[in-house]
Amino acid sequence: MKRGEASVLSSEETRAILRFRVMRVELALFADQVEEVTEPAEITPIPCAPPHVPGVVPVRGEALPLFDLALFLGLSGDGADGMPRMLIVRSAAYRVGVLCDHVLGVTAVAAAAIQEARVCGPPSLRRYALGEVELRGGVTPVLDLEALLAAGRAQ
Amino acid sequence: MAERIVVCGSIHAHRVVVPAARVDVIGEQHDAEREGVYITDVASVLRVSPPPGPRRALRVVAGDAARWLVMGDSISVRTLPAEAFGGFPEWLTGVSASLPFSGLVALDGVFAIELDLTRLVSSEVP
Repeated sequence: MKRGEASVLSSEETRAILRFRVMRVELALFADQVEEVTEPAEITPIPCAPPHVPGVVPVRGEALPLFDLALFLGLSGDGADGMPRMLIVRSAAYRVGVLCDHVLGVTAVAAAAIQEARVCGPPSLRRYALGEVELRGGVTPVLDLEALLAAGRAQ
Repeated sequence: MAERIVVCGSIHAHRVVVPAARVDVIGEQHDAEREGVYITDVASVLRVSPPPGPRRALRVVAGDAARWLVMGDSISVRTLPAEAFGGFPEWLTGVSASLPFSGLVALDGVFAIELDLTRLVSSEVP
């Protein structure tokens, strides 16, 4: 078992993270910030929105703004993979659809295993990482959703 | 069930709606040019290039003012349930604050932008 995995840390406080990939980069959000995972519906573009906001999609009659993390974080290197998915996320102020290429699943990690972000890159990604967790030999950034949505908001 | 009647125009991938009660003429771009009142090209409001070919236009009134809005190649009148009308998501209010948009309207599985005619007609931009 690797450091950070729940089965070896059952006596400690754990947090569930939802792991997903954007442009082959593995990222995570706290699972309790993700309301739903779904396929993106037809996108309505919004004039004058920034490039990382491709538009809005209907979700049960409501217009949900979309957030293209790849564009916002500059993750464009190796191309998308998998099945496009939309994570419906909620922060204290906003409800937004985050586009990703592949949802890997929910993993329970020890809270103490989420350490200061040092390894993950590029720098734009490190700026919005609450921390990073070592899983299966790799390092996965856990994103700071509040900071991301505040910075990505259309001004 | 409460319903609202709107006039819907399209430009490229964008659709816009205005309340039908504020529209007194639906015509062509040359009608607008012939009449000589203020003309607003909705393509410039949406910050997109004007579509080629003949374009439809509609004349809207707000108080004593009238203005032609030049749309794309089609205009239709639609009756929509009141529930189809909503505001801009909070995350996008920066966009709606800077442009004469008052909300989003669910229409055929996508959304149309509801134009804020009071802001549009009172603006100095011809």
